[in-house]
Amino acid sequence: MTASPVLSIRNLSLEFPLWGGALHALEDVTIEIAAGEIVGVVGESGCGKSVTAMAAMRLLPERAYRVTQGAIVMLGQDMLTAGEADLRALRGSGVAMIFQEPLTALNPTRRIGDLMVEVIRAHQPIGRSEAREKAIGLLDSMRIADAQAVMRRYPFELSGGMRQRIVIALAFANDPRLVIADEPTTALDVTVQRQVLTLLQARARDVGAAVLLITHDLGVVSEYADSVYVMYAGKVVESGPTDAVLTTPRHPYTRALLQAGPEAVAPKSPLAAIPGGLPDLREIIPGCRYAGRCGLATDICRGAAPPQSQAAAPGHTLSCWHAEGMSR
Amino acid sequence: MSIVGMLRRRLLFLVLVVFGVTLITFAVSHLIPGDPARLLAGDRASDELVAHMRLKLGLDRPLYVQYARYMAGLLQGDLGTSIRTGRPVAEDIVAYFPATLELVLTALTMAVLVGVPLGVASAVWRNGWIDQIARTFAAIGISTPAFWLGLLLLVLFYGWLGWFPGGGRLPTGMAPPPPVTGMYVLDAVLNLEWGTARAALRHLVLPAVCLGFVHVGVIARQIRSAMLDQLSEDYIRTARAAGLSRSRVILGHALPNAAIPSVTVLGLAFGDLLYGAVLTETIFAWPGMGAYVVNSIQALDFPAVMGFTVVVSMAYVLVNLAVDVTYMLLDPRIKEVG
Repeated sequence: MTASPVLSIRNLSLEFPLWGGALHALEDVTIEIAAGEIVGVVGESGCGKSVTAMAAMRLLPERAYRVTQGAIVMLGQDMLTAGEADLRALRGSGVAMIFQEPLTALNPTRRIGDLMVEVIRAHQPIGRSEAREKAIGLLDSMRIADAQAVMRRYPFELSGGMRQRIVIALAFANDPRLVIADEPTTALDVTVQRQVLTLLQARARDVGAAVLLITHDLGVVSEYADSVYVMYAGKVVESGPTDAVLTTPRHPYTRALLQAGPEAVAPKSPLAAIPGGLPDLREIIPGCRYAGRCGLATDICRGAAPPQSQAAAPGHTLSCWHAEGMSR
Repeated sequence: MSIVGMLRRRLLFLVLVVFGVTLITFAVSHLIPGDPARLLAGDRASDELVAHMRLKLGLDRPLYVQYARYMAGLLQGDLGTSIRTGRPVAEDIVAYFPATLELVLTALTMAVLVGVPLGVASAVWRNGWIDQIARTFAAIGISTPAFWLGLLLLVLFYGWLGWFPGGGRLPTGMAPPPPVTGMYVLDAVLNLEWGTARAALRHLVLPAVCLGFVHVGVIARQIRSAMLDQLSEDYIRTARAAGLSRSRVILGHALPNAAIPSVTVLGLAFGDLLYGAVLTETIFAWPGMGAYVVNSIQALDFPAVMGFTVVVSMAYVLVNLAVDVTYMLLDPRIKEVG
């Protein structure tokens, strides 16, 4: 790994204060992204993937959450203490973000071109026509045919896949060093998903930008990510190089996730679902958060949080009391 | 649907509205007890004189004939002759309507200029002190009766402080500007009579505040809720994530979208103000349609009352037509949907 990561989230714990308590959304989360690296974060809904991304961008509503420990450093900027001006300078230029819903992510009454020009000129001291040229170039790079005409279109006149490619073009408008993509293809047709992700990957590789790819789809991770973090109920349970984690998964949750995919079972047989549901995050959970659904859980799992341990492959870490017993 | 197609449909609608309005007002005004001929001739007039007046006014004919005659006249721009003033109603309306329009437009402009910033600030600092003040202000505005507010304004700003004149459109003795639109401030500016413009504007302030006060609160509340809707949209998050400044995101992205549903409220407010002006004009001795129509009602002056109703209804329909055109200009999606 290179010396200075573009994004370093260290031991981050974050909670949302509630009436008479708090929802402990993130617990001791550590994620590191090196320059030019594509990092996947996987987990089911509610596991804290999006909250992590939003917290890193400081896009969560300011008074709605509390960081109880840890640090977020993005491109050398401490994100927890950054002022409004620092954030504005960083957002969209150093770090860009792609959201889940391309249908609503663009201002409905703004022409594509006008929005792109505005975003480009917010960070670069260039004229309107030069910004237009740049915007057309960006659309071209996203394989959008007839970029000139698309510049004059409104979002509602374009398909979902087209819009998401525009959102990606917009994300790359100011040469970011990190792009955070929060389920960028979940809302799209399956056939368009691959196309959009391939474009995103190619673009990131071209300009040397790192990508934080948030998804619930392990197939997406295996195809596009260099390394992966598996999250469960606000904790990172296993992480490491994608190959190592997906071919020799060590954590019971990662294994269960892999078996839950439709390709893991024979045709026409029932899918392997993980029994149970997420624990109540309003309560303080002394032990392993997965213990309630884990087939291997013992008393120690319910009593104390598992420590981090190293697996065989370099960089492959996991939090499980039974790591030893599983390494066969 | 294109703008032209929409305009054509709406103008046809205008004809229908005018037809309906005249039919209803005609029926109502002729069904209420009271004899305009008797009223006009005076209490002590002989029965022959009253009969003569009735004949002269055409009141002896069957109702449908009277209505047909009225409509035939209306198509030629003839609104009949006022029983009370003896002048053509159309002439009276031309004389009095511009004063009302000036008052209404000023009140509306003022309500927008105060209400929109107030609504935006309330939404941005939701539940903060400015929001509390704005909400209280809106509640007071909506629940304050206009006649009471008018008297309060007069006592305070005319009686005690002497900042503004107490009534009328111009100081006594000052000649009105040469008529172009009939609205004094505009006419004075067009004729470069700055002194007159200033004086006319000073006379406008209190009645306009009195008339528009309710709508400051209505507009502020509408803008507030529309802004809150827009600020929670995904595209706002996109704009913030792209590093656009807070003021750009609020004023450049959220406000134009919040303005779309709010334009409807403006159209409704306009109609409300036209009718509300009747009371305000009485309080401030404003020589507009309000005073005219009140006097006409008391004199059972049917042609004048009907003329007023027709003109106000048409103005209302036309303003709402303008609202719909504005809608189309503000929201590119509407052309496709409509």
